[in-house]
Amino acid sequence: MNKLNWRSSLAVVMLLALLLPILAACGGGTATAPTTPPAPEAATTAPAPDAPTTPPAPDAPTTPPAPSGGTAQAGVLRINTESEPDNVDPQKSSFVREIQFIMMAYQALMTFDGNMEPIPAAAESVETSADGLKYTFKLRPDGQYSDGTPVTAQNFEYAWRRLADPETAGEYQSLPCGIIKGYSEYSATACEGMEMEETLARDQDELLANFGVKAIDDLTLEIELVAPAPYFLSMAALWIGAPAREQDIAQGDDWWYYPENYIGNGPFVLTEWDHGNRAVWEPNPNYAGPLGPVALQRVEYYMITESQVAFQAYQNGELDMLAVAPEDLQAVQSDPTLSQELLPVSGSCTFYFGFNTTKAPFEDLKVRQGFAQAFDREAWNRDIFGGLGSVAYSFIPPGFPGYQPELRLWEFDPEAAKAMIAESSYGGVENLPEIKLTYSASARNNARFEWMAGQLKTNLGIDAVLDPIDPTAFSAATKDNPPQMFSLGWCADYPDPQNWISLFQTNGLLSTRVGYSNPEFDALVTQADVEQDPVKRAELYAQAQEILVTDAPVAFTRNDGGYELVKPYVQGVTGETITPIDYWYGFFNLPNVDVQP
Amino acid sequence: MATTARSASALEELNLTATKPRSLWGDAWRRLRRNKAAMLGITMVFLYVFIAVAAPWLAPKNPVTQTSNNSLRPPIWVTDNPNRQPNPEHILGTDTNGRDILSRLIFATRVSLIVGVVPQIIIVVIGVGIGLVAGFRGGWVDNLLMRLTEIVASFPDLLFIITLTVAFRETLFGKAFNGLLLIFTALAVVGWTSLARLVRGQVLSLKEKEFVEAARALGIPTSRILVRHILPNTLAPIIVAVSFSIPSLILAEAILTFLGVGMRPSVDPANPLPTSLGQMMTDGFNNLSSGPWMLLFPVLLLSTLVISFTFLGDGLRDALDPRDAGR
Amino acid sequence: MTAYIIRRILWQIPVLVIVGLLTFGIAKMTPGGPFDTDPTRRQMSPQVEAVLRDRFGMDLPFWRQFTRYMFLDVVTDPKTGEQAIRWGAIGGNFGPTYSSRGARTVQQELFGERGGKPSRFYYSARLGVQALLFAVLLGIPMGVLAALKQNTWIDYLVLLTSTFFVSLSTLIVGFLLVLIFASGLQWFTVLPNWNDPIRPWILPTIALGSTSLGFITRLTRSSVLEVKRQDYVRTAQAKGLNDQVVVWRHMLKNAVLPVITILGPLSAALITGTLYTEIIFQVPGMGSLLIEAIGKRDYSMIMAGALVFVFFLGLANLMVDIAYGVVDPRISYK
Repeated sequence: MNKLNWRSSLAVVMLLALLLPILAACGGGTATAPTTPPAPEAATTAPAPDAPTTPPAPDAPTTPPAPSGGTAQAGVLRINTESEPDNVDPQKSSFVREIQFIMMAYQALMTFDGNMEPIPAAAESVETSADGLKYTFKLRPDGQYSDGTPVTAQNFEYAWRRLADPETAGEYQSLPCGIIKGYSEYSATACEGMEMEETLARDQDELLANFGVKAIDDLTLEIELVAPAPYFLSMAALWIGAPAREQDIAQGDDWWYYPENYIGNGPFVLTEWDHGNRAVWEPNPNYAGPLGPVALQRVEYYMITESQVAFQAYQNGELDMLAVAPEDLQAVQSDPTLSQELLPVSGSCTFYFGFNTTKAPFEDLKVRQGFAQAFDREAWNRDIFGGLGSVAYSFIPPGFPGYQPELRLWEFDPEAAKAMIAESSYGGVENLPEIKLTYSASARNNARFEWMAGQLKTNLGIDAVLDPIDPTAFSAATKDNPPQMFSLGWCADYPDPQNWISLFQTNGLLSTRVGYSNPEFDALVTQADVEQDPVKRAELYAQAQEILVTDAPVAFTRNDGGYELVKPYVQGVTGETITPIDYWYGFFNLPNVDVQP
Repeated sequence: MATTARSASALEELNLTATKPRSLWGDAWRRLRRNKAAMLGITMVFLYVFIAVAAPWLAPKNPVTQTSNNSLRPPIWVTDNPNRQPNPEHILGTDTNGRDILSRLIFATRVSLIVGVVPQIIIVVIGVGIGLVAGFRGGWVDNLLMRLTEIVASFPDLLFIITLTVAFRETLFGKAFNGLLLIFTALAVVGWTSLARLVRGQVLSLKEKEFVEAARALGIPTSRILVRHILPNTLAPIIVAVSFSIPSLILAEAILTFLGVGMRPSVDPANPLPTSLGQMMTDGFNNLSSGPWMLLFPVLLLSTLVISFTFLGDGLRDALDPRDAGR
Repeated sequence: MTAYIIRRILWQIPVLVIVGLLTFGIAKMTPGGPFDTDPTRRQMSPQVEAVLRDRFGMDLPFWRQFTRYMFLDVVTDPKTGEQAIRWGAIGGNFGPTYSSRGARTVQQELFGERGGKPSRFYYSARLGVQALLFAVLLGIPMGVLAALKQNTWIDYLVLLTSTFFVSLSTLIVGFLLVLIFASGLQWFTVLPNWNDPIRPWILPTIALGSTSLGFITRLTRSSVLEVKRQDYVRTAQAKGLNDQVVVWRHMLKNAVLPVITILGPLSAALITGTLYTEIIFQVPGMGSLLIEAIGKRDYSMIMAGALVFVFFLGLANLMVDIAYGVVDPRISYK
C-alpha cells in the first residue's frame, strides 16, 4: 500500500506537470495538438558519407508472429535477457547473454539434468575408458538440424577443431588446453603463446592427425585426453562444442547475425531477431534430445538494459519471468500480488575481496585474516542487497558440488580481527599503511562499497579510501597490475570443483591477481584434478578449499542469487526444477515448462 | 520612420554616456526590485546559497553516517506500511545505506550549486568572449573562431565528457575534490560553444543596427562599442542561456553519475562535498519502486532550484535591458 | 552563396580530421582495452588476446593506426601477395567493431539493415526529427503566446512547466511517461512492438522532445519580448497595423533567429541518438550503441560516433546559416 500511495502521488504530480503545457497551449488556442508528425522524411535526412543508403520506412509490416503485447498468451514465454549479445558464434563467445542464445539453437554432446549432473544430449550414450583417457560418444540416430539434415559425428569433429583453430581466436579457446590430446599443439597460439605465423607454418595435417577429437563413423565420436579429467563430461556440455555447421559459417564472419544461417540441433529455432530489441524462438520440430518434447510454442527474448523498465514490463504483464533487482525487493515483498510470485533462486557466482599479497600490508597473513573477519557479511547482504543471495565464507557456492557449508572460518568478529592485526608484523591497526578499496565503478556499487568502507571504519577504525574505477579499466587493472584490495567475483562455467578451486593454483587465473602461491594447495589440486574416485576427489578439493580459506588471499563475501519473479501461470519453473546454471530458469526442465494463463 | 527615431535615441544615449556615466546597475536594481517573480527567485537563490554555506550547521545528521538496520525508511508522515515504519530521527526518511535523506539533500545542494556555477563562469567567459570578437570583427577572425567553435562543438558532448572523465579519472587531477575538478573541466571545455554561437548571432544582427553605426561614425573605439553597446544588448539571450545552462550542468553531472563516471563516493564524515543531487537522483531512480522518496525529494529540490534561477534570470534580463531605461 | 556553401563543406574536412584525431587519442589513452571484459567471467587468455590485437593492428604505432582508420591502408593479400588500397573512414569504412570480435563492421551496425529490419540509423533519425518537430511546433507557439500574455497566468504557467521540463532529465521524463501512460493508463505497452508504424513512436518522441520543448519555449518567449520592445514594432503598432499582422510579419521573423541558432546543435544531438530515450523505450537506435562503445573500448565505434556526429552537426549548422540568410536579409555571405 505504502508503495502504491507513493507511486501514485508521484505520478499525479508529474502528470499535472506534463499536462500543463498542453492545457496552456489549448487555453491560448494557438498550438495544435501534439500529433506525431509524419516520419518518412527522417529517412531522407542526408545519409552519412558513402554509407549504405538508409532503408525506407517499413511498409505494411509483414509481422511474422503476432506481437504478444501486454497480455500473456498460452504457450508463449517472455523473458528479459538484458542486452543484445555481441557475437553468438558458439566457438567465439563467452558472455552469459551470448550463451543464452547459443544454447537455445544448439545442443552439445552433453547437457545437464536438474541435479547439474552431465547427461547425454546430442549423444545417446557415452563410454569412458578404464584409464579415463578416452571418451566414446554414440550420437542419436534421429539427431537432426532444424532444416532436416542429420547431425553427424563429423559436425562435432568440425566444431571442436574449429574451437582449436588458431584462426578462430575464440575467447574460450584456451579452456581445453592441456586436456584434450593434441589440442595444445594445434592451438599453439592460445595454449603455448606461439606466434600466429609460426603456428600456421607448421604441418597442419600432422597436427590434425594427432588431434584428439575424431569421428569414427557418422554416429561415433571419440575424444582422447592427455590426462584423466573427471569433469570432462561437464566441459562437453558447454557451448564451446556446439555443432555449428561449416556451410553456415561459410556465409561470412557475421553468419550468426541472420536467423536463416543460425541453424542448429537445439530445442529452438531462431525465427526473428530484431537486433537490440528482441529475439523470437519457436520449437525445433526436428529436435531430439533430453529437453524435448518442448511444450512451449514460442519464447521471446527481450533485451531490456534498464531494470526499472523491465520491472514495469513485468508488472504490466509483458514479461513472464524476471530477476528481482535488489533495489526492488522491498517493493515486491510489500505488494500482495508480487510477493506471491517470488521464487527463491541461487546464483552461480561468488564475490570476494582480493588482498594483493605482494603489496603492504597484505603480505602479512595475520592482516589478511584480520580483514577477513572485520566486516559483517550478514548485515551487508541484508541492508545493501535486501537479503538477496547469501553470505559466503568459502569459494564454491551453495548448490554446487564441493560446497562446504560448515567451512565458516572468518565469521564477523571485530575484536578478534583487531587482535589478529595486533599480532601481525604491523603490531596494530594504527600502524597499517593506507588501505585503498578498488572496485568497478557504477552507481549501484558506490552505495555498496560506501557501506563496506563504513564497516572498516566502525570495526577496525580504518579510514579506507574508496577507489571506484571504470569497469573496463578495472578489468584491465586486475589482470595487469592488481590493486592493493579489490572486489571481484567468479561465476561458474560448469558445475565441478575443478572450475573453482584450480583457479587459485600458482599462476592460475585468479591466484595471479592476488599473488597467491602455496605448494601444499597446488599439490592437492593437481592430485584432485586427475583423481578418478569421486569420493576421494571431493575430499581432496575440500582440503584444498580449507587451505585457501585459511590462507585468506581473498575474503569471500557473498553469493549472488535471490529471487526470480515468476507469473503464477508459468508451469514447470519451481524451486525443485531449477538449477543455478540454467540458461534461463527452467531451461533444464524444458519438457515441463509451459505458459497457461 | 523607425530609423530616424532610433538614431535620435542613440545619439541621446551617446550624449548621456559622454557627459554623465549612467549607473546601469543602479537602474537595473531599481527595476529588479519591482519584479515580484525575480525577487522570489533571488530570495530562493540566496536561501539555497545560505543552505549550501551553512550545511554543516543545518544538517541534522552527518550525511555519510550509515546506520545498520535502518535502510529505506520512509519520511515520517508515511506510516501505512507495517513492514517499514519511519524512524522519527529521519524526517525525510533514509536511503539504502540508512543515511539521512534531509542531511544529504542539504549537502547535495552545496555540490550542485558549485557544479552549476563554477563551470558556468568559465563557459561564459570563453563563450561570450569568442562570440563577441567573432561576430564583431568578422572576416578571417570570425572564420577561425567559428571553426574552432565548430570543432569543439563537434565533439559529441556526452561521448566526449565520458571519454575525458574515463581517461583522466585515475590521475591526480581526476581525483581532486572528489572528482569534481575533472567534471568542471570536462563540462566547461565542451560547454561554451552554443553560447559563443548565440552571442555571435546576436552581434551579427546588432552590428548592422543604426546605433552601432552611429557610434562608429563618432569614432568611439571598438572595445568601448563592444562593452558599452553590443554587450548589454546581448545580455538578454546570454542570461536566458545561462539560466538554462545551470540546470543542464547539474543534470550533466547526474548523467555522468548514472553512467558510473561522476563524482567519487565519499565515506569521510568530514568531507565538505559528500554527495550531489545527481548522485541522489541516480540512487533514487534505481530505488524507485522501494523508496520513491529517494527520487522525489532531490527532483523537487532540483526543480525549485532551477525555477529560482530562471525567475532570477528573467528578472535580470528585463532589468538590464537598456531600451527599457525609461520604464 | 554557392561559393560560400562549397567553402563551408570543404571546411568540414579538417574539422572531421581534428575531431577524429582527438577522439582517437583520448580513446587510446584511456586505461583498459576492448578485450578486458567482465572480470567475473573467464578472461580470454593473453595469447588469444595477442592474436586479436595483431588482427586489429593494435600494436602498430599510433599514427599508423590513425591514418589507417581515418584515411587508407595498403593491404597485402596473404595468398596472392597483391597489394590493394583499403579506404578508411573517409571512404565510408568505419572498420570492424571490436565488440563483435571483428565479425561486423561499424557501418553495418549503424546504417545496415538489421536482418530485414530498418537500420539503427533509421530509428535514431526518425525519432530525432519527430522530437525536433514536436519541440518546434509546440515550443514556438507556446513561447509567442507566453510573451504576448506577459505576466498573466498563462505566461507563468508556460514558464513554470517549461522550466520544469528542462530541470528533469530525459531519463526521468521518459520513465514517468512509461509509469503514467503504459503502466497506469494502459494506453501503450511498456515494451514496444516496432512492427507498428505509429504507436511505439509516440512516447519516445514526447520524452526526447520535452527538454528541447522547454528550451525552445523559453527562448522564443524571451526573444519575442525583446522584439516587442523594438521601435519598428512599436511604430508598426502605432501605424495602426493590427496585432496579428504585427506579430506574424514583424515579430516572429526576428524572434525566431535565436531559436534557429540553437537548432543546429540540437538537431544533430537529437538525430545521432539519445541514450536515455533508447534505454527507456527499447528503441534500437544508435545512441546506446555509441555510448556503450566507450565502456567497451570499441575504438572503431567510438570514432564512428564522433565522426557521424560531426558530419550531421556540420550539415545542420550549414542549413542554419542558410536559413539565417533567408530570415534576416541583412546578413550576407561573401
